[in-house]
Amino acid sequence: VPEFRSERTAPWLELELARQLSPVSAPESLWDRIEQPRVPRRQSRFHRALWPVAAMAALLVSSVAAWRVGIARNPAADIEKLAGQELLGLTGNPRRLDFRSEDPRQIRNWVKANADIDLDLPADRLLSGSSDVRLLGARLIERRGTRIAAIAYRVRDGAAALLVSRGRSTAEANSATPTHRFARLESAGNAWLVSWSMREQVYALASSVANDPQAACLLCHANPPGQTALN
Amino acid sequence: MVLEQTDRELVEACQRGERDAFRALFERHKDKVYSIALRYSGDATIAMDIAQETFLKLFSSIRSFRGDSSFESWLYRLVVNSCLDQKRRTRRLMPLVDGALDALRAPGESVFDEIMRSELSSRVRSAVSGLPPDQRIVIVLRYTQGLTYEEIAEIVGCSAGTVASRLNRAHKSLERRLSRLAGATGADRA
Repeated sequence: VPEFRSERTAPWLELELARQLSPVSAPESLWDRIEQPRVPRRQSRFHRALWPVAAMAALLVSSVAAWRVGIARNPAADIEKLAGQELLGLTGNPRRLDFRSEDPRQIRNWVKANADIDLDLPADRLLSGSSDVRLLGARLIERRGTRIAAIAYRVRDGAAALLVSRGRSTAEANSATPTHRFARLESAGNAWLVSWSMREQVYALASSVANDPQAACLLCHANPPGQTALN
Repeated sequence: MVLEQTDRELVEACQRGERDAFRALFERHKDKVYSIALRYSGDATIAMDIAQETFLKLFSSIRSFRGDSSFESWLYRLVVNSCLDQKRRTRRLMPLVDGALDALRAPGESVFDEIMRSELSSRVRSAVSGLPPDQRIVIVLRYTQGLTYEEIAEIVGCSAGTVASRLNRAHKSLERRLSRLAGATGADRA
């Protein structure tokens, strides 16, 4: 490494750094971590003094309180975030599905049995052969004690994931004609996110169909509903 | 250049949503990403977190990759940013029996030599972990990946002169901390 020598770096140091910082092989489990993303767990080393522990505990209590208040106000927040991750995971690896089927009736039964969620998909239209939608399967997600069903499907030239959980977001959103809110998800490759609430269930849908934010709505609607907010 | 072209083909396949391409891209670059993460953090658990974060960022933003720079440079930038984002500075404070280092010079004590060699590794890695992040990352890119000043400069986002300066300061700092090991490594006796 001539550049180093010109700086008069000690040869023993160069040698030792090259030896100690040599490349290594990644553990096999790394791919599993990417397939099943989870929040990294980090062990605290704040045991050298007591006050950081106390500060952390206080912070934790206040964070949990704030989080609970936040969830009570908007239970859809979690599911919206998850939708983007789910879309990304499905695009990266379809094997993560717990149940694979192209039949909406089978998927409905599976979701009902495993998540106690009723998901009424238009079976006749989806199985007619003329639909732009092709179902792939479903997956069950456990999030803070709540069961969330994720339905994976392809629509036109993209992928989509519909997440459903039991819950209520706002009174307005539980009306007979629920408001569908549209947004862009930068964290999931600029995917489209649609969320709404209906009949005591919260829905979030992420789609990678770049030019058509409503394409993923074809899963349930022959004619996608009007969007009320678009950013 | 064939490799670069293949990388580009894989990226394009990922952008089209071809699932196998994600795995192929991962397999090709996982050791590189993990090595940088491990050598920077000095901790296998943190390295896994950094590598995981890097690949998740990569896959989530791959549609926005336009090929203005090489894919490898882009990947390096992602892993470097993930390393620098690490809040916790890892310091491996391994206890050291100071006088025992002198025993490295004694021949014929293979088991003891092995123990001390392990201790030596810990000391060097600990010293690297103790460097400021901006110096540590250039040391890792230089010695783990063998990158040139210009390549490091492009990844870190500074001039080659700044890279040289950071390396120089890092070397001086490491030399100061590890000077007692100079004899122990045997390198200076060659």
